[in-house]
Amino acid sequence: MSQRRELVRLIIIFVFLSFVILLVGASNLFGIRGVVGRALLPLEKALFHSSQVPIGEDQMVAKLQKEKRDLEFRLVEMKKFEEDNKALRDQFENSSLPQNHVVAGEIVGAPGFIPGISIPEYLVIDKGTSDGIKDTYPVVYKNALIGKIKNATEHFSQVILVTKRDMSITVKDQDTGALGVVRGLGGGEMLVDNVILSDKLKIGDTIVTFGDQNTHGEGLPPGLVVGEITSIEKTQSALFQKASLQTPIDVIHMSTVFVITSQ
Amino acid sequence: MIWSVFFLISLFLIALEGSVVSMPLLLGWLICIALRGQEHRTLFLALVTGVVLDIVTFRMIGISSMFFIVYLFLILLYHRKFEIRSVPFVFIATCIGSLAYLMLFGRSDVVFQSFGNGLFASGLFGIMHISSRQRGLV
Repeated sequence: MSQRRELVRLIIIFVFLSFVILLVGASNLFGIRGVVGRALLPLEKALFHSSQVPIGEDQMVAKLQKEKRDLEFRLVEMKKFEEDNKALRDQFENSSLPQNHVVAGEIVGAPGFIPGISIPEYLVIDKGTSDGIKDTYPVVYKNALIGKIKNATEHFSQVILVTKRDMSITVKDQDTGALGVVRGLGGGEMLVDNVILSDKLKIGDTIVTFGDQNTHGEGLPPGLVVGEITSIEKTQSALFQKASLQTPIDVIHMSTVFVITSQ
Repeated sequence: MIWSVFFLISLFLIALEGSVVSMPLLLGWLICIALRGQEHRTLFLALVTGVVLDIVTFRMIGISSMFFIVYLFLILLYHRKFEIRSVPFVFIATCIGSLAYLMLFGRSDVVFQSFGNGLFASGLFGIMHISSRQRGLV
């Protein structure tokens, strides 16, 4: 009985201590997050890089060929946009458009159920508030949206993926202009919801961000690729139609991402 | 000396949880240590490693410590009722604890991860038990 009482006394003391830590830790006293994070960084980096499963040679060749085709196609589009842009600039002499700053971050962590195979829950990058990063900043790769910054500490940031459950973004269909909301379903899956029945969606359409930047340039810029429609669910009795999306980004094999900061 | 080794292993598991694996490996490890005895040292280790884990996984500092301490207390309460120093008990306790932990922090695939963590902790406990017997401590 005395042993039990001793155990209860111990538990009360330690629960009280952890409660005190909970209160103190909320204010990041002594910059403890930065100190501990930096101390464990080399080990985390080593573990993360050793867990990345290399893709086979044939798969690599096919992947590179596909990327080459995509880039050639985009080059043609970009040339056209460049000409249009030059013409518009000449017309309105507008050289004061706000420029977004981009910070490159190396991925040092991507915890998932099966390392190197499962879609991770979130990413950890080696850039933080000391590099100008704040919470809610968008994270991209090329022109595709990966997610948003959720917790930025001094030297590290947590990136919540766009496919995470409870993540939602306003989007539009690049081809038809249909508006909707992308919701993450977890496990690398996404759904476009709240699309009016009269709006057109087609399989293969590209879904891009609608944009919600404020006057300081913070927020999601428009035109970032979120995914491609793979299937559509449309019933006349429902208020809205839905579509499943596939992200163009292979998060498992990435090593660098880019954070769009404000001006 | 042995507690320094326990602490270093805990740090390694924390680094794994922060960068590679989403299973609560540290919880399983703490359960294995708790069943060896010396509750005050185990609870202190749970407090310290819980804080480090929260920092690495971007959670509110102290929340994992509180969970670990309360859960270890519940396990140790069964000290006289069941044979807790056994692989089946470690497996079940780790599965239930992992399930609660993963649901608390909104993770996916909670059942598979809990089962996997249960197997991991059982394996660890089995290794610890065999090495203790070989050293004549049990």
